[in-house]
Amino acid sequence: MKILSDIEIIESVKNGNQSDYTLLVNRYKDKAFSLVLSIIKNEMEAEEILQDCFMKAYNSLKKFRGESKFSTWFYRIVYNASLTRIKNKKRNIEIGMSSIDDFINLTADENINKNDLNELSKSLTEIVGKLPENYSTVINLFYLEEMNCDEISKVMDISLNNVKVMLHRARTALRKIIFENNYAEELL
Amino acid sequence: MKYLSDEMLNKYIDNELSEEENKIIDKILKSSFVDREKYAELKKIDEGLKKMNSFKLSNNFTSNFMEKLRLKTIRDKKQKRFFSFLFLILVTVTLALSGTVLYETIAKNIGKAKEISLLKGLSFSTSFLTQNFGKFFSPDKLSLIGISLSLIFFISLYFLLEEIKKTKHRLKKIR
Repeated sequence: MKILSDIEIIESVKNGNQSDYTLLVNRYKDKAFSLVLSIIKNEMEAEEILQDCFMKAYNSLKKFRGESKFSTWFYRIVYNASLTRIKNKKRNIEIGMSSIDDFINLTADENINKNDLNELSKSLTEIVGKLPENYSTVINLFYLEEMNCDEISKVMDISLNNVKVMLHRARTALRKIIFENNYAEELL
Repeated sequence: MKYLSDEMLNKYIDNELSEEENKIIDKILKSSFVDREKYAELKKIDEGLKKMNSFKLSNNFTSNFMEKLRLKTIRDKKQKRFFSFLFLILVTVTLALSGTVLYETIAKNIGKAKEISLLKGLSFSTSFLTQNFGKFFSPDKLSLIGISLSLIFFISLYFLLEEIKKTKHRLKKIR
């Protein structure tokens, strides 16, 4: 059976075949869920946000002209919706270079709590989810969505250089967490 | 001894360095055990992340969402229909009001129009218009029209609100 491209599905939905939207939902739901979860850190809330994002994307499909990939466009909606939720909860999230330095000593500060890590089933996905929002978002987009740094910079609306720095620092942070706590054998 | 920075090693892994820089790093890695170990750890993280699985959403997420979407589409259609209906009522009322004003104005000036010979033809057509307008939009009938239109409006508003309530209830159940 022929696998339809995102654009073909979108055209079909635009032509009134609402049920074809199922294909897009199934295609992106798990990866988008990981992205929301990496920012929101609460499964129930993440699922609710994702439903709203799929709804918003459906309502805005007419505006989608295919200038960028559907995935980039959709993840931007997801990322912005998650950030808005965070802001609404009055949690401070800072994007960009100025905030990066605050996150460097991850194992030492309260961002990652050792007890938290012990409670986890210690899958790498879960440890990534415990990283600060910016780091886990970059890791998710780079490794799970297989986006390049340029696409990530469009989704997060930050410079290409910032994406690279965040990616490097996130990996360094993971190295510290995993190797200093001897999780390497279990996880890698 | 100075060791390679994490930043440099990450760039080396991502192939972001020039050929010359890569050669220098290769040399350092061959000679420095600490750097080699650090590089191996970072490389392991990179490979581990490449194999990382995404979180799985519940199986009924898609069906729940599509049901929600279907209900929302129906609700939107009903709302659209209601607002078109409301618009039609507004247009009718506006027409009725302007008709009455027109009738009043023409009725006042009809006597004068008859006196001016040039407007004689016009006076015939206007008198025909005024008679019909007069019948349909006379003050007592106008209030009747207003009452019936308002009644229809309130009845349809009631049904629309009921429908919205029901849809909201159904959506809550799905969620």
